[in-house]
Amino acid sequence: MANLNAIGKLGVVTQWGALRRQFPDGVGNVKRNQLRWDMQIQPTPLSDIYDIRLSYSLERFPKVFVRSPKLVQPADDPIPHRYGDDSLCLYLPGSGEWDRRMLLAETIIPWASEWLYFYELWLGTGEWCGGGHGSPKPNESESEHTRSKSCPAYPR
Amino acid sequence: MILRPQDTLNSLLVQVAKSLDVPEELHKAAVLEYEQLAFFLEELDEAAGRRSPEIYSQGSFALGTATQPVKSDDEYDVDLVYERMLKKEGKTQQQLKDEAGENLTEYVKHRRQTGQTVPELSEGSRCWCLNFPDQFHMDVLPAIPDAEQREIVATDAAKHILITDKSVRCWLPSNPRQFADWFRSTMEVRLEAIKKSMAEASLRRDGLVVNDWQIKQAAESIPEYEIKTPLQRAIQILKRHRDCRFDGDPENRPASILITTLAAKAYSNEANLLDALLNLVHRMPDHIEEREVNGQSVAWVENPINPSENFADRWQAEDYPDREKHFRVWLEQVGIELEEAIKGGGIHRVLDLLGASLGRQVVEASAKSLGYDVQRASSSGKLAVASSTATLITGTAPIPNTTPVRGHTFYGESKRNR
Repeated sequence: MANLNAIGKLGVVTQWGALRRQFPDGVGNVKRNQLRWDMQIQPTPLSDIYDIRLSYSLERFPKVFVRSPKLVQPADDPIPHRYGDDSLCLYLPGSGEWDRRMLLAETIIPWASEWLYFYELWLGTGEWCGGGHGSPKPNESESEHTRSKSCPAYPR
Repeated sequence: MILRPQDTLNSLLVQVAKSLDVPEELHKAAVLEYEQLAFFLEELDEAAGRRSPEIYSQGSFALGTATQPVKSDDEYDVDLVYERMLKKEGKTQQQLKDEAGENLTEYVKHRRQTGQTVPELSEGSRCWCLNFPDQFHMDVLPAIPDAEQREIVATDAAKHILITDKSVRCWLPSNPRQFADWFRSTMEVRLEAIKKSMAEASLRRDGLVVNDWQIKQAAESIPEYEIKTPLQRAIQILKRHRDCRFDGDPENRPASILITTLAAKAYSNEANLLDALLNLVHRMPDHIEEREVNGQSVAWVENPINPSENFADRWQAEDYPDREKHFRVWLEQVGIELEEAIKGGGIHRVLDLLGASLGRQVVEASAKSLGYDVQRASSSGKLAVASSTATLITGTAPIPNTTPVRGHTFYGESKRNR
């Protein structure tokens, strides 16, 4: 496993390059091996336009935060598929759906767009139509530091 | 690839209109009941040595514009004509009506004897009503051929009938089959185009080499009742909007025949439901004429197959002087709401708007059904995102400047308390 990671994983500059190619309207940078990528996502032409921030490094898993507009949470009704730090849960950790050999531009960003679509639909109907798994604990985040039992170990 | 809010709204409206359709099971049951009734009534006249009657559907069931009632305990109306091959000189209006009642009583008796569900028979002002509990009402309208009118037209296409008036004293002219023919003619171009594209798609699915002749052949074999044109869908949406808007104000509620006629007159064979709706709400008022009647100017919506009949005659009622105004304001409101929905700003916002005017339940169910379609497209590799703002695009063919979405599963709780 360790060997595979060593030869397979994509550097942050490669990731950044792919993001710029696929989504030329976004802006980002790489500093001290940390990638930060800001872009607007509009999941459908009838949807709101969301400013999102993606952060990633080889030490941390990709995280997507919605910066604006503020996501709406109806009373006593937590927004589904989010981690405790409000980042979006976009894939099932440890399942191989995402790993460091994959381009963020081809996975995390399209998944965030889907997430926002299903979020708006959930706001309007009360039902999450996007499928999914499990239930992260309230303070759970997918970073290595706060990983819990229900968030399976993940190849680095 | 240009993604327009109009296209997304159109998909949602098509889905709403589809869920306003008579459920397929109920439609099949109604057709079966009507065929069984027709068979019984034909046999009855034949056994008595008379020419067998013709029984056919009319109204929204025949036009493909039937729309689910707003309240779930309301039932669908299935309107039938019971045309008996009699001369008007040989029967009074009352006799025609009474005999129809007797024959239908026989039919109910027959069903009881043969252990079938027994509909309740009741008398309406012009028709008889068979009520099949929890399913539909079948309104059976007694009629005879209008020999004089048919002679004037003197073609096989003449389908004029006479029905009784509400007080069962006079004959009134009617012609539901010719109205249906006229209605079809207003959307014929679109109907043929849809049949062709359905035929072509089906031939291609079967992996056949396709030429124009084959498409034409295959298109001809597609039954038209399986197709809904944007006109039919638009009428369903308008009727639904009307039902919600005039709930509690039945006296000012515009009649379905008025909406259907004006919409068909204003339809220009638009290919898409939203385009059709937007054009209809602007153009339908152009088909309301002003006519001089007894020195007075009167709003007139001409029956396309009987110019002397005014479908807007209820607008002249002294008790309700504002019916025309209500109609015009309502139609304008539909246009305003659609334009507002096109502005988008969030699917939830659009659902709030449409839900308020078309019924929350049906709009939510339609949106969810589209949501599950997107989910299925995602898990089967048929979803992509556009390059500017990662907007989702569904489709099988690879589209330039898009990124396909890889399979994945959202992680975490997904139920919302309501």
